[in-house]
Amino acid sequence: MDAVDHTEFAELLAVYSLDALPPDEVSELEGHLADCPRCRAELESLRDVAALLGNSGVNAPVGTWDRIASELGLPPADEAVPVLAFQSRKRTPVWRNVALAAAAVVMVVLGLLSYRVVNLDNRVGQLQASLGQRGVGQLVTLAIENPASRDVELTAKTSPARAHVVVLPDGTAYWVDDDFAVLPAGQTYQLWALASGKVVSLGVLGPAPHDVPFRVEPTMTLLMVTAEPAGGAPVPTTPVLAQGAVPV
Amino acid sequence: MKPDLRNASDVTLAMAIARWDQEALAEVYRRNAGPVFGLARRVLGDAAVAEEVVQEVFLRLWHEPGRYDPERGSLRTFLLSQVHSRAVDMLRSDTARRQREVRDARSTASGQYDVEHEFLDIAVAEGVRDALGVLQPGERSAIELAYFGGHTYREVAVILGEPEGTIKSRIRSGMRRMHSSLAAKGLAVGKMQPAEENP
Repeated sequence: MDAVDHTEFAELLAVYSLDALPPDEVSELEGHLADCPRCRAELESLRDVAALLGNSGVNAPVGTWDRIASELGLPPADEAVPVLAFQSRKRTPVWRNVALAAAAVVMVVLGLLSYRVVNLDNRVGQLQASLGQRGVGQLVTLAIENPASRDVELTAKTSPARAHVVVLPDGTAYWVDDDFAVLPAGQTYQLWALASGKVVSLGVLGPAPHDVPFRVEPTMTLLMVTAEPAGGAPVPTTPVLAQGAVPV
Repeated sequence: MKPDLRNASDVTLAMAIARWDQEALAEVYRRNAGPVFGLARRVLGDAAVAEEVVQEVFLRLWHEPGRYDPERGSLRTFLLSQVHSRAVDMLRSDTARRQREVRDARSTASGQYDVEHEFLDIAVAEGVRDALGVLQPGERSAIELAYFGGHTYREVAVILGEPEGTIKSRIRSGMRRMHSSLAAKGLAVGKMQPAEENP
């Protein structure tokens, strides 16, 4: 890195943190930031200061949340559809009296589920990537050391393979480790829970899971893991590899 | 609202949003919408336009939760940064500038505000007030024109009748001074390298 350039860029960080850098100077600084961890760290500190400067105690207008909620545009979910259980609690319209319409709905829902599962994988994976392995590892260590956390051991019926999950009081959970075999390309481990008598997907874990965060709801009593096609499945398509009860 | 979400960490909420948990987004909104709206309104000078920006920022969090990096700070900081950036973009467009000239003095703000977080904000507000107090007058006016006025440093230079280099230096030294003041009060700001220039 050129020391002179670095100093010049570093002088612009405060201006940039206030969004006060003219557009024609932004791309050059952002190029430098991509290669300079020291400048990135300083920018984060400056942004903290800027955020505190803008942190006021006013109220948002009435109705803003309603407009956001109406914009979310999530499809209504039938409660019998497990993977959508984390979303809307609305029920699908009752079209089932018409056989052809029902078949059409099933096809649409199945297509939608595939899309949602792949998207879930992408969204959660993206957030995990942004956390960074080191960051997740620190959070996992804190979770294990938390005396209020609960341990779930998933054991297999037909082999000595085990997996270890830690659950914090607020429902944050981490798949800590396992001795399962690494899955071949095109497959992923997927985690499921039994909640109020229904099997719901907790997300895909990847072919060699380690330190994967997810969330356990109070209604979930049993965790299960299966091997599924990469991207995951809306419902388990293979036998349960291991399972473990969530302690109350 | 699920009771556990009320005490959930930012990481938990972000993970829940990544799993399309609308109640997690609602909780993030409940905690942060007031300050996010307040900043947008202050920069844009128009409550209706500010509300549009607030909606945009929360919908973006819903659609792209991976943009938030919990290691880099709180969701509040992330959302304020997002809303400021978007508000400044709007302000710099001709349409928004015209809207700004017709300021709506009426406040439509009457949403709920969380008492627990309001208390936190009072402590923060005191810290920020003290931090502003350590600034030299030239630093403060440059920072306020840039941050709340949505002006580039070049525009600030024109407004204050100072060279551009002077404005850049004032903003940098002022932000560093504020950082030291806030850090001394234990407010969550990261460490900063010693200044190589511009003490």
